[in-house]
Amino acid sequence: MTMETSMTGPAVRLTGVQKRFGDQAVLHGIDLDVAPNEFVSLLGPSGCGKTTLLRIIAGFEQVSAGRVEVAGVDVTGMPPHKRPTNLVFQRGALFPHMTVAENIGYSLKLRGWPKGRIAARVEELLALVRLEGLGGRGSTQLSGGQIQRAALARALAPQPTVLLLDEPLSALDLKLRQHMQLELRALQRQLAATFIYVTHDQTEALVMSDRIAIMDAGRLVQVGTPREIYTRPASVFASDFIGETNLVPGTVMEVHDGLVTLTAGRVTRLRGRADSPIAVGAAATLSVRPEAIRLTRSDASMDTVPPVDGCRGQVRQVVYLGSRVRVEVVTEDGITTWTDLREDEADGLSADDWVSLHWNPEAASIWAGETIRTEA
Amino acid sequence: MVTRLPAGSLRQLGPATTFYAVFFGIPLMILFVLSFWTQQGFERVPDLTLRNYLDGLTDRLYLQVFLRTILVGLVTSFIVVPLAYVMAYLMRFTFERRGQLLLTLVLISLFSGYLVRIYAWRTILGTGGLLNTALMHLGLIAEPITALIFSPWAVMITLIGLLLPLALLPIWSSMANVSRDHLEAARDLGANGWRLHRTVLLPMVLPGVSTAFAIAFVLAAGDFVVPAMVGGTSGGTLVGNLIANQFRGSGADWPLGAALAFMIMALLVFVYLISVRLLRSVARW
Ligand SMILES: Nc1ncnc2c1ncn2[C@@H]1O[C@H](COP(=O)(O)OP(=O)(O)OP(=O)(O)O)[C@@H](O)[C@H]1O
Ligand SMILES: [Mg+2]
Repeated sequence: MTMETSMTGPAVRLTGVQKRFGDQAVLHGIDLDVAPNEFVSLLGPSGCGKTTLLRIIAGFEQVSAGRVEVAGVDVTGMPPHKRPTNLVFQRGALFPHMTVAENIGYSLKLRGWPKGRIAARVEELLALVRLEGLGGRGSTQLSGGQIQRAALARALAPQPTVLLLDEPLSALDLKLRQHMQLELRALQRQLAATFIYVTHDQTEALVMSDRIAIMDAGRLVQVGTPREIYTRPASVFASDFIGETNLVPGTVMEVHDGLVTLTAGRVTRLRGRADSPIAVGAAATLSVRPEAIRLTRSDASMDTVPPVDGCRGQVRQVVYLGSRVRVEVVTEDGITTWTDLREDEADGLSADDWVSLHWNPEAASIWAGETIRTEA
Repeated sequence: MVTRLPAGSLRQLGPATTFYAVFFGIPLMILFVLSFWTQQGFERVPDLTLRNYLDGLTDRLYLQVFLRTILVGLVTSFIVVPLAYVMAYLMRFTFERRGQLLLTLVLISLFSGYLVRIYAWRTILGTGGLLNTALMHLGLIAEPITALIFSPWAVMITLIGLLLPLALLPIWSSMANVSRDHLEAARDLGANGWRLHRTVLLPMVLPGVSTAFAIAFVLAAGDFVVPAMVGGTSGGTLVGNLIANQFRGSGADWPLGAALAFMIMALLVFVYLISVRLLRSVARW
């Protein structure tokens, strides 16, 4: 069972999509292409407009300006029941007066399929989402995970060109959620279907997506593969939102071939790569991931030469995380940083030890502007 | 949709059942026994006769009133219930928060009391009433429409006005269990307009709609105050008036009144069951 995706252009194309509710602008011109068979996540903090964008694609909200195309057809003014898209709701929204099988077959019955064909297709879908034998259940007699599987099967039944999912796993507990993430991803590959998946959980987006579109306050701030976004975040916001990072504010001292040297505090000199133009003397922010930092012990606190590409400081605490050990270091200039080490690397390390921190400048990103922390 | 009572719920229903038996069952039984007695002058004589029932079934006037009662009940409830459904839908899904306010207003209107509201309708529908005066001022009619009051139409309009709030409440409360997601899921999967209502919303609120129908139908068919006050003498009489007349005044005949009451009760239950079955078959997805 595969979806017919004979189209050549993008499965979904958004052009300059804007949305305002009254005088509150919620989306400020979104441009996005989603390729056929692609799994794209819309990721961003609460209230940034993810659900609104998804509902615009589904047809439940009208754009204030811009265009929505699905499989090359302009669907901007088309009502939801005519669009070749289907939506999986956050809490499933199964119809309580129907059994699981009736829920799944609902759209096919509306399309006038004969009974036998519906039954066969429903069986196929039940097997696909691993609900074999539960077709006769009332939709109120299911667990949270089963509800979402049934909702998924129901949305897949009419073979939509694009499947839209609005945080379908957010109501599940962590273990089940992690399991379902992998299952959903495998299923999307198996069907070769186009999925647009809304989440505010960065791990979920990293695990499942071909590409992630990061949204902030109604704008797309970066669109790329999980790897691109993790290793080369396009902004302070993106670097802070995806994964964990150390953000250090400073002033640009020197720019050479895209490699920037920052001064932070009295003695600290830090280096990193800037992908966008940056001027000497400007305020800037450096981001370096905890696992990119190497830590060496330096027993001489009176060592007067600060390390190149790094800084020196004192361990404040060592936190055991199971597979790793996280070390909090306060530098000479009072900057707090986090470093991740393997357990054996951290052997014998304890509070108040003096250490030096280094990293490859290519693994650190620098952007012009003040440091603004986003809320997690 | 079948609601199965969980085991043990019968025991919990004990107090309610007792209450029901004492205040409803016993009077009903007394009335039932009475319906087989005979009235001789001012005396009621114990008997075991079916005469009262036969009288009721053979008298043309009675049959006419029965038929009219059922018709008024059906027409009224077939107008009231869809109207209440549409209002509940708008209040729940279109007006949202303002809908809650509207519901409060409806509830407050119920506090104004039954008779007061009938009088209100009388002043609206009367020859010198609000509606006629307004229509005349607008130049739409030259003479007041006399048929507005003291006619079966007046009875029906007044009943609709009286029963609409009562029908609205059960439908509204079943709709509170339906989330907007359910409606959107249905539209997303290809249903819209009438099909959306027939396959999703109506089946989901069927218990409320059935209750609303029962309330509207039974109250409309059983009412005897409205016909007396706005129905006039010309064909506005309903079975309630007929029965009430058997229990008062000089020509009182309690056994006949009791028999008429049981016949109309059986008839109402019968018509109600058929109507609900009809409703179920419509609300099938
Ligand atoms: N129907 C509406 N009327 C008015 N404002 C709305 C409406 N729907 C959404 N908004 C506003 O639009 C903004 C974006 O909402 P949206 O639901 O798209 O956010 P989200 O990114 O999905 O957030 P979350 O992660 O919390 O679900 C919010 O400020 C919200 O208050
Ligand atoms: Mg949302």
